[in-house]
Amino acid sequence: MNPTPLLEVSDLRVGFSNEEGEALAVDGVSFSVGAGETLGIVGESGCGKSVSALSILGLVADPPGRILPGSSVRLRGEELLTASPARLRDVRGGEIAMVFQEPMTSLNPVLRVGDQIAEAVRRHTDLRGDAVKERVVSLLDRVGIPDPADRSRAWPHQLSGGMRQRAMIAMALAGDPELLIADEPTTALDVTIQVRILKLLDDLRREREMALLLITHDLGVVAQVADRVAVMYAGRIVEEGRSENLFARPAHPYTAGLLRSIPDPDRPGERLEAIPGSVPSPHDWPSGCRFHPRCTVALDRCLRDSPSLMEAPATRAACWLVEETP
Amino acid sequence: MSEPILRAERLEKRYSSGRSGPVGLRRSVQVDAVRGIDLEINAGETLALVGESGSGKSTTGRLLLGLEPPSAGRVLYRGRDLAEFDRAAWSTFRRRTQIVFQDPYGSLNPRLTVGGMLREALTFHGLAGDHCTSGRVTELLTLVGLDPSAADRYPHEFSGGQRQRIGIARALSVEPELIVADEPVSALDVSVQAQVLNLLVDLQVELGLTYLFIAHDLAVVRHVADRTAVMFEGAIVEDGPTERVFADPQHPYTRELLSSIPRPRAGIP
Repeated sequence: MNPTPLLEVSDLRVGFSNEEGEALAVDGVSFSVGAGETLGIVGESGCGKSVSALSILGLVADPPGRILPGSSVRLRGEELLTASPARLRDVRGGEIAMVFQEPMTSLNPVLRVGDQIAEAVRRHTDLRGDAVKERVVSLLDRVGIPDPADRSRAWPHQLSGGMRQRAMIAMALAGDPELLIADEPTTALDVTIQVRILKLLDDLRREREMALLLITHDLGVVAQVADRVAVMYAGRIVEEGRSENLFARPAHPYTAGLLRSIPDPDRPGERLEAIPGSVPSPHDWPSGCRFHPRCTVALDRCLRDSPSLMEAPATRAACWLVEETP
Repeated sequence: MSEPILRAERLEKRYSSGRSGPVGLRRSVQVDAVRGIDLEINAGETLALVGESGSGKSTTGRLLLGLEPPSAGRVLYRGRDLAEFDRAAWSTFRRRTQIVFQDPYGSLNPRLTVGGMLREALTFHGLAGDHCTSGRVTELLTLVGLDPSAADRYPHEFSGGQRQRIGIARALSVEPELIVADEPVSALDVSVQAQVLNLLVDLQVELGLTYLFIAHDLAVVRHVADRTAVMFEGAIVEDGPTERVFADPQHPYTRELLSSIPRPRAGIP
């Protein structure tokens, strides 16, 4: 194991203010990503997974957002939360690049696709002139856009959703990043396109020895590509472990409940085991373990005390039951 | 065999999508959204219509409910052509067929309380008798698993899953026989999708409903549907019992679709 991970996030806390006061959307989140590794962060809407990702690159709007003192995001040991704006601009798209869910809204509609990628190439490399154009075409070619020289002159609206997402990935690769953060990269796409984009991300990670931080609500997506998985619920990581262990032997009732609520192809028509209740809001996090109001096996202490991640048989889980089970 | 509730015969829908091309050379572009499909929905069954965005599945749903006229072909409701319906026939048809939408946020009137919304539907279809209406509202809310006190609250006070329950209650209020559910769980959090799917299945058993279930999530489709029809570029490329379609897909597109299902390696106790 590498002594200094590529990215290390520790005790990240992010508050958002509105008329009801400040709510902690992310409340003490720690994780690390090793070089060349894929970490999947899974959770439902409002669990804080996207805010965690945005915090890494200093992209949380302040106000209303605020990263609380004591939080830390280190890239190869270098603290990013206190980095100068100039340094952060270099990191963004340089060492760390990001792709988002909606490729239409993240591309500039009045610039040709190739020109937008060229801008990123010029920003993060020493290439100039025709060399920039060549790089753009080779990037578009690498992400699987057919007829790349021709397509580089297309406007964003002339590309399909899948092609736009490929163009976004090409742009993210322009600075040859060590870490690619992909926030719901396939959610807006059709299923047959989804698998192709996931395969592309996984191939690129391998060939460029790039790490991938994959943020998604879809357990199936994570299962396909992640080495390790962190499950978030109500602003915290509730379970973390190697992908195969977490799906085979989840220790947290939330993880197990999520897996059980997915229709099982071997038991069609059978009643689904639903998790009761609904996801709480950051302004209204429950006391103790935040999952306790929806948990069918909650103990008395779950209402009072908040568990931290503990060693479970196959994973690490923030659940008092782990301690109770011999 | 008894007559299907709905039957589509050689159904087609073309849209003219404005004009494109350089000024002076503009031509209007025709889009064939639905290309001659035949489909039957039988009483008491759940028929799933699956396909990707742009495959024409939602348009087909709208044509089947007579929300849009077809460009060619016809839709028969219990053997009668929708195109020949008079006012009274439309009124009955509108009441007997209801729709539940994907977006529980956009499909509820924000200015009406839940009770007001349900009373409106009852009144519109002439099912409201003054003294029994509030009893019916309570009954409907209980049926979909909501507290009767929900009647006095507004849509924004509810979570996504609860709003979808309200949408279902509104559809049920007029005692339909057929419900078209257009992506009814895809906007919901994963942990509440199962609640709503269970509710839909329970209601079908309890009320003898027929569902046309429009969806792109094949795991969900396999779970709820008796029969599955796969749409691709406006045509139905495969139609059969769900188990058969999933176990032994015939069309290459169905095979590609099935191999794309992302699935966690389950092995949960």
